[in-house]
Amino acid sequence: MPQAREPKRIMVALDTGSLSRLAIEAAARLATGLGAELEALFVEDVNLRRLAELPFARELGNTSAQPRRFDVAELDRAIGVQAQQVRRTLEAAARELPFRWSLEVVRGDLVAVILQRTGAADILVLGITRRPAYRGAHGEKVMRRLERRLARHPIVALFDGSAAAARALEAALALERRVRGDVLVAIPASNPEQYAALRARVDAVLVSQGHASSGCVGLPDADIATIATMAKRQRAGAVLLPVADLARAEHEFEGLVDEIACPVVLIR
Amino acid sequence: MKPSPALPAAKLAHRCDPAQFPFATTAELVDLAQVVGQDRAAAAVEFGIGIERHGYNLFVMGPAGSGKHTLVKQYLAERVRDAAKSSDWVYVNNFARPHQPIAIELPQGRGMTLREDMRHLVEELRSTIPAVFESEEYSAKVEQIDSEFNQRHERAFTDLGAEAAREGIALLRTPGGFSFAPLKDGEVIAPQDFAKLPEEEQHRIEETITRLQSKLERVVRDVLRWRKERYERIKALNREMVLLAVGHVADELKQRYTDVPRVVEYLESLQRDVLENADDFRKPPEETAQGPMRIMMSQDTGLRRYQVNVLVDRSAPDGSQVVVEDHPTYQNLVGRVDHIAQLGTLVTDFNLVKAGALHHANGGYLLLDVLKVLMQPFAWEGLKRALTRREIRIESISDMYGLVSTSSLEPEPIPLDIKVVLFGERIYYYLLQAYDPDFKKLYRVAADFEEAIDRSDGNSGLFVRLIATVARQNELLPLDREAVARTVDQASRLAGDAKKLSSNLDATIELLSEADYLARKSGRTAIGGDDVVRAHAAQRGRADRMQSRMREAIIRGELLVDTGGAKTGQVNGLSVYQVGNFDFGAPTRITATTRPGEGRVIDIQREVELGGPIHSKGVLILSSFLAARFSGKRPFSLSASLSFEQTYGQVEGDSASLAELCALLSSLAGVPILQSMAVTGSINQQGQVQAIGGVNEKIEGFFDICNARGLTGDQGVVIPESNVDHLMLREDVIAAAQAGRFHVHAVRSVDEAVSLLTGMPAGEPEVVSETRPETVYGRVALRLREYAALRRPTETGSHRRRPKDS
Repeated sequence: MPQAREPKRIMVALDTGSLSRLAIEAAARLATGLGAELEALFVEDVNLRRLAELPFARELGNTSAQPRRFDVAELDRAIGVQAQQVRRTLEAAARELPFRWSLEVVRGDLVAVILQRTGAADILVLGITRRPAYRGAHGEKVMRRLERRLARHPIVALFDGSAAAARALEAALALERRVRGDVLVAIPASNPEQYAALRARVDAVLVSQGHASSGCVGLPDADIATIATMAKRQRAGAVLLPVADLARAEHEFEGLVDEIACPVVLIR
Repeated sequence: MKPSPALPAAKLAHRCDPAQFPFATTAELVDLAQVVGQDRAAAAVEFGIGIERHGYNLFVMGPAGSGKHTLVKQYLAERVRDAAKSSDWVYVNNFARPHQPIAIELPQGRGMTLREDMRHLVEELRSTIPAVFESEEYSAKVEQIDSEFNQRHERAFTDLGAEAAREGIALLRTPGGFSFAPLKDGEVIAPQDFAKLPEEEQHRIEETITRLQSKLERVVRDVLRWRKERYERIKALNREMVLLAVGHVADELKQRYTDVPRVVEYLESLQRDVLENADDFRKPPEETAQGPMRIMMSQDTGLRRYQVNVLVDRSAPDGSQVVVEDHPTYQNLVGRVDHIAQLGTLVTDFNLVKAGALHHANGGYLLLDVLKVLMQPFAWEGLKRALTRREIRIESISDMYGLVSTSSLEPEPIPLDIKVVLFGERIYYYLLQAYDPDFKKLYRVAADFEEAIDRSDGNSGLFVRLIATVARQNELLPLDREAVARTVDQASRLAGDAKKLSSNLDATIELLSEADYLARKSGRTAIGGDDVVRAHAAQRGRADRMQSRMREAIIRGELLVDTGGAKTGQVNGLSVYQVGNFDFGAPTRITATTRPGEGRVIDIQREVELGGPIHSKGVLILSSFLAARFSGKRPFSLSASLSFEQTYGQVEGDSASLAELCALLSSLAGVPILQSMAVTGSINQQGQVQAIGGVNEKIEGFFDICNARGLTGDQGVVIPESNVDHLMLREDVIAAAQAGRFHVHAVRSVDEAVSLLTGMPAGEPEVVSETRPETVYGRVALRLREYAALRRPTETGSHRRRPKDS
């Protein structure tokens, strides 16, 4: 059984989307639960800047449904405001749950920048999505949005038997304790024997964490499409995935960003 | 006419004989549960309380301590016992118009039940509503709605994104919405690369994006519409779920209150409100605020609107409908709406509506002191308004009279069915009758209590039982027969009439309390007659500073009053002084001077405006008497002056008119008046002597002066015969009279008084003749003829000169 490693760094990747607040909340709870430092990375997608520079660029308001001019100055203002919002959210979270944090604002290709910066991070929380569907409720207090979401939606942890998977499960349990949610363990197995073996190891981790039991669900495969389908079916509130190397997970990132509309936590 | 003999001692007081009582002490007597000797007032009270008509409220008037309250309460106690108990009243929230709370009438005792029922209902909803929203069923239904919404949403964007991708265009999320951008190698084309594209290609891309944007607009609008649709479906789901939680509880309550339709109505509106505001039941409790602030700011702030404010609760065993309001302010009568300061503003709600005495007495009786009501601002008008409208409408005084109207409550008026009993002195009744037109319509029954009751055998027997009762009620020692007799005597003395008993029970209780103190101090087990006498003497002793000073001044010769010898044109009049509730009498020297004149009698007191109108009337009457009796066919050629010597304040009353006439006759006749006598009485134009007040105090006042100087046996007082029945003199005065050392003479006419005071026959009133110089009137007639003769030449001269002057 692989030994859990004490995580030292948690990175949360954020963009201009509404998933950012949920991701900050999840990352903050993990940082507090695991005693880690939180590095927030606010990425300004370079594609948006290119769009803003095009002469015919128009933006359609997502609530007004009114087209308006979209230029660089407008983009800079919006990015500035959102970066400030991210900072305030982090400050508010740190007041409630004491943890160390830093914020870096970077412009570039979303996935490439994350892969480039994730370097020494042990856990990566993805607060970005290209899906337009999700919108959080207005007026919710900082640090309460995730709590309310996870009260109704399970924390899904993928357990493939790796050391990273054990850490992912431990992180899921730590998150569960913080928000009083439920953990659902997804076990990829090609046959019943493999499932049973992994299930036994899941139980061992649960016992080591003082946890009686947890729901488990089998997966035929561990690819992103299968995980995304499962997350959608289970109405996951957050998904925790083990990865061998964060810096080399470009393919996974692309799929996750495109397919999953909830905070995704990648754990090394 | 012979002078009247002195009254026998037996006539000077009607002493109660203790031997007549068949008991040793009052402990043997049973309590008296009725008011003595107030038959007329009792009949009025019975009628006023019995009649069930609008406007038949009661005004009970009469002196303090006459048993007004006792009698009314006795009648009310019997009536309330017989009458069915009336209703409870509650205020509940008006969900449609919260500033107009709803008043609901409930059968007696059900107000508190409703309040408890509502408290349980809210408690139950606080647990069931959150439970419903946390249930699997609710979550599943919400997920189902969300899923459907998300699917539609996603499909719309996915389809549009795919269509764009086929054209080499990407659908991008921007900070404020969405946009389309042409792609090159999977990334948004750089502006310089776009500029390098052929113009046609650029146009094609722009047209494609314009077309896609139109579609995006439709999608976004659809999404907005779906969101609204989702919100409505979630709301409908919430209502459905809350209805499940509320419905059966509310139905159960409605069943319990089918006999009170307004409660059922209220429960239905409450149910609708809960459906609309179910979120209030899902909020977690907050317990940070303290005191009254906590009430308004706590988690229950929103839920306060489901409480029941029990305004009138008659669940107590007595369910009293007889309310005595000792402090009848406007708000204490009509009720009020309280406010609580919260974050710098004053807030209120229906729970802060407070009942007034009218609410508590509704269906019953309200007892008020009229003077207290009149002295409180707005209280009289408020009471009248309520009685006239027959409803209790709580209106803020500041709103009624303030320049700025503040937002407050307008509680629904409560129908008023009440009988008000006002207590007060007669003067207020007559003033209100004269000056308040509404008063007559609202207080149609007056119960007038007498100051004194007849001292008949029947009443005396009841009065003795009343003494026994008040002694017991006030935890006093029982009275022995002698003490009872002296108390009865004292009641007569207080009434100022030997044939009456004072109805001032307060004074009797005060006297007996002090006698009880003396008896206990002496270690006795019952109050004795001596205790009563000493207590009364002590009462007077504590109050007679003024009397002592005046007596001292007379004895020392500072105030000139002779008690021996004889003087012409000078007589001892008698006055009564009132200091607080202590009366005493004292002699005053009255002098008269006469001279020829035009028939005018000058009242010096009136000339200097120290004489009251009744006193002036007395002087005019005596002038008229003189003129009628002595002028005949001759002109009345007299000028006279009358003075109350050494008086420095107002002189009022006509009780000195007899004395003044005697002084005048003495001066005219030149016949001296015995200064060992004092006289009191008023006269009419025929010379008859009429009754006056304070006869006992006046006699005792002169007696005290004579006694202090030493009784000679010649001294005495002349009083009107019609006052003999009022005599209740002190024991020492009676003893002196019995020993022949002091005399009280009763007279019917001025003739008798003149004879007594001068020791000379007055003369025959019908035959006034100058030929009888041995009589006072004969000498007066001679003197008047002299005056007439002296004036005649002057008058003739005047008559002759008058045409010249004109």
